[in-house]
Amino acid sequence: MMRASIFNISAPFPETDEILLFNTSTGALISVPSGVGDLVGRLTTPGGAIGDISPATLAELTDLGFVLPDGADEVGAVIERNRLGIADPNRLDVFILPNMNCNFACPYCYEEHAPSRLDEETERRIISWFETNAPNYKVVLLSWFGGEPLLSFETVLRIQRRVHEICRDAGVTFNSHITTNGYLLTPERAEALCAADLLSYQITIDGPPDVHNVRRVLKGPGDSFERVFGNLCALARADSRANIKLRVNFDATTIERIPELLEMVPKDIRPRLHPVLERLFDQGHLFIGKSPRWIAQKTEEAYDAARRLGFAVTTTPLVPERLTYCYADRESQVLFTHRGDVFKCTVSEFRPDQRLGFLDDDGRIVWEGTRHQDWMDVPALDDDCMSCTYLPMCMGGCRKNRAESGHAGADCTLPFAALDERIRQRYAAQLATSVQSA
Amino acid sequence: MTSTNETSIRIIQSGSSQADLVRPATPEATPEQVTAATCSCVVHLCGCKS
Repeated sequence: MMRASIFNISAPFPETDEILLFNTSTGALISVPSGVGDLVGRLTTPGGAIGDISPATLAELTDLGFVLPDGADEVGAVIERNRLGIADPNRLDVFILPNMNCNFACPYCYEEHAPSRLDEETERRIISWFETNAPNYKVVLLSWFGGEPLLSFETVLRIQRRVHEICRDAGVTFNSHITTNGYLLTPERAEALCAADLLSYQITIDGPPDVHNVRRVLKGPGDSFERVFGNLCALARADSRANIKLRVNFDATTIERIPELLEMVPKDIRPRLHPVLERLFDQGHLFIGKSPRWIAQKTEEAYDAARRLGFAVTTTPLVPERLTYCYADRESQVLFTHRGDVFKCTVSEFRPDQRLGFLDDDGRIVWEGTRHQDWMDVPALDDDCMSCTYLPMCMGGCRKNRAESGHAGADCTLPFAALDERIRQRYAAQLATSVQSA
Repeated sequence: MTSTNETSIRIIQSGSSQADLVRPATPEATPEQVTAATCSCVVHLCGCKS
């Protein structure tokens, strides 16, 4: 007896009178004539019986994961992926927050800023910790976050260079990323950071100048757009190795202004920029009256515009290669604050009384009671996940939300609200390529 | 793009096996495979890898 996978999704493709079928667990994508809609109906009835179907077709659908033998545990396979991702022994993820200060006062920011710095003693402890731990992994990913990390440029550069050396000497692959508002990323600083193999950047511009300048507000006089935009363009031209994410935070009133920003970017650097369009964090009230579907469709339209304008938009996102929802799910991930306190999630007030641990004099992490274990013990998946079609592409949602409220959040399926649209785009792109090569 | 002659199923992408999907987190993974599966986004709702 065979049954349909619970991870099948269909999307009509009227342009060619076909129906597309996608499996979120295997990433298989097929098309069938719309005349076999009854078969599609059976395949998208979770756990439903397949009924009459030729052996050859049944075998093919089984190979692709759309059909399973009764008793096959496809959810269990995804849970196993998640378990392996959490326990991943290969990769050490480290975030460092060299200060909790900022030169911006963005109205939507969740952080509280104050003058602060990572002192020499904490720097020594962090380096000592890297010397002990980095050689145990195949890959180290060092991410700079804040506050605004470039307010501590000299500290960032010193630690960056030293960790780079430690990894090089130990034969460990080193990758590094910085999340910065870009205001202090002068061409000279960008050159120094790239030379130290800091080659991944996320810089936020929230729209054309009139939008950006009221969202990304300088603490001092003046506007931020012109300087950030100039630094972004200079970075893109400075080092061809730099991977640059152009982050745009939007709400319902600004999402349709994104193409204006994109059109301002000089054509020669567009292929170097990867747009990352995100709904404003924790600002759901700005979307009142808008459905998840509306938000998702508008986001896809903005990505389409970026693609047409020549930006580096990911064109094949339909791959279930995520093993955990977030870096903070993983055992071998830590975040060091400027005080040497240890946390997991980057969304926090980073109060010392909330820390999971701290670096001692010898550069070892001392956990505060059971707090770290309590974090790791928060279930990565809940009962709703076990029947969710999107589970293999999501991997359970936010652990912090689960820790605080027991669930991943009411809108945890939002990233997939327009998945059918992405499926159609994937097929349309394939058809366009076929026509070009014919 | 391949086609089969039975019920005209057209395979657009054949997907990945469980072994392929978990490889970056296994002891056999090469640094290149681990790096390829590593995303540096701070917020992972963009459909990228985590």
